[in-house]
Amino acid sequence: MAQRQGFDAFYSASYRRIVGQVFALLGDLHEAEDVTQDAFAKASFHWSRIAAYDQPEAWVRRVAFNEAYNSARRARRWLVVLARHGPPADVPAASADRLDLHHALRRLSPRHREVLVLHYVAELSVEEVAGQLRLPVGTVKSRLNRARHALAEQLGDEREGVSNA
Amino acid sequence: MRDDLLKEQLMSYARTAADEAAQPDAAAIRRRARLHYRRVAALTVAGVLLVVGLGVGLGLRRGDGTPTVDQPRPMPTLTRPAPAPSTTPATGRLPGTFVGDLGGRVAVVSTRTGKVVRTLYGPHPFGTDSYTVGTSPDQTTVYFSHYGGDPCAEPGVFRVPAAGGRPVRVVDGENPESMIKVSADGSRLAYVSAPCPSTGQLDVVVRDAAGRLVRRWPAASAGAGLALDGVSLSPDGRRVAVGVTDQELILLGVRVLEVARDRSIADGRLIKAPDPGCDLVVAEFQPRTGRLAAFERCVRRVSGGIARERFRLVYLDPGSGRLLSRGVAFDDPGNDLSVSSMDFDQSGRHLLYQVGSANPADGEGPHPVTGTWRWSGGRPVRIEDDRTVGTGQASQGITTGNPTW
Repeated sequence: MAQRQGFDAFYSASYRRIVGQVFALLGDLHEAEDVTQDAFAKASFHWSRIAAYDQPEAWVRRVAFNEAYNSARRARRWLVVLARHGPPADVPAASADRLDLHHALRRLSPRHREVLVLHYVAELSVEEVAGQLRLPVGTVKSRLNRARHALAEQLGDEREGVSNA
Repeated sequence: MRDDLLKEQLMSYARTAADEAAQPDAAAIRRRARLHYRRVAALTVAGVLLVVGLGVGLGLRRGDGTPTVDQPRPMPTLTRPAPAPSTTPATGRLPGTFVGDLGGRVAVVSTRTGKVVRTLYGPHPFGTDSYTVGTSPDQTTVYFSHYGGDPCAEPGVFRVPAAGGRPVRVVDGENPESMIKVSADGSRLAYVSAPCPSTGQLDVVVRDAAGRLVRRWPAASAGAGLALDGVSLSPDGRRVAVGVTDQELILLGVRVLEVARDRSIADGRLIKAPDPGCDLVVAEFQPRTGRLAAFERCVRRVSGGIARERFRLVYLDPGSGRLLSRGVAFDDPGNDLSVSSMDFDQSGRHLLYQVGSANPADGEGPHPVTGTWRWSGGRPVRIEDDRTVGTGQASQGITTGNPTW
């Protein structure tokens, strides 16, 4: 019973944080919900072990990102999402800035999006990002740098496009 | 863009979506877990029963004559074991050892027992370093490079005798980020490499055995926004197969490049998975025959919104991409698995491949499919899995990385 309560409290406290991070990676809220719920389902099954970790949330994020990142499986996942939630809803109302950012992020490569999300949204240090992705620190720094430039360029284009329209 | 402003924008973007997200109650998540693992367990048990039944009933035997029922932890394939491709040479002794990265050291591992025979380099503290490796066809020389941690602290490709000895740097100023492939005639090496210091740019590099540059193709020459994913060298060292992915990291296929002719990666012939609904995930030239062997991942069926994936070895004509024959296959009931590497021995008869999982939970206990496998026709044999590295919370079950004969 205590174990169940432990998982429930962990899930309640961290679910929305992980969904937000996965959404920033995928750009699709239904898909982000599905991936995140799968990751928490796996965590609940292994909770007796995961509860003992220093950062159970890091474990869940890793599972969710692995699944979200594996884009070759997106078609399959999309079918699952469709079955569970129905067809995607209309794009919710959003500010122009948020839409700009949304479109700019979508134009980045997944590798660039991933380091941006882990570093800025999940607030991991460069070393922690390197650890999670099993990449050299230098590679993470370089990707982060390129991702920032690419995003700035995209945002510049987006805003220029809006002002020209 | 200012760093703090970028962070604020991204945080706000993620937070707004998180606020809009539906959150089922915890009981629903636990039900989802039970359904998921019940499905995996049912498939696994059914698979083991079917395989054991087939194995005993048909009297199947391994290539070395050992009865299959003596094999450790048989793989739960759901289909009749695949026959060896007809063109695979019938001879070729099973190599006694292979080489791989073992949680921070380059090690020689027994093919029969999966135990470490000797350490060639390392160890480094677990988690701070790992290696890409390659072996010469006669198994006397091992090539390796640093991968994890900060590889540019000690960049290059190193060569060390497989019997042990002092490593010698044969290439400087760059760091392979893929397995180091050696042609079957031993004359050439190929790998995907990043310069040191890293620019984030990867190149396909071919060098001779002494480390002299033969050819370098920049990743950008594959086409705008495309990325590279692993290489293989043809037996004569004249062709390179490189996996190419799109911006979304979907593997578009394998480009087969002529070292002497092709100026860009895009010039190479693009070979795709021969079966509908499948992607190629890793490819390797087969010594002696020169065929391109590849694992394809296929969405097997969709029922009730659930698709199941299946991995299958296919042999392709590298010139045309035509399907020549099929090999070993296995299911992925949890949709978590991947084939991360494959390598043939010199005879082309014995295939070494590694099955990993994207689900960290699979590394925390026995798993029926992950690990290092060999296939010599007939049923595959798992060599090792879940070697415990580290202690306490830092301990982890790993399998030998980048195994190569």
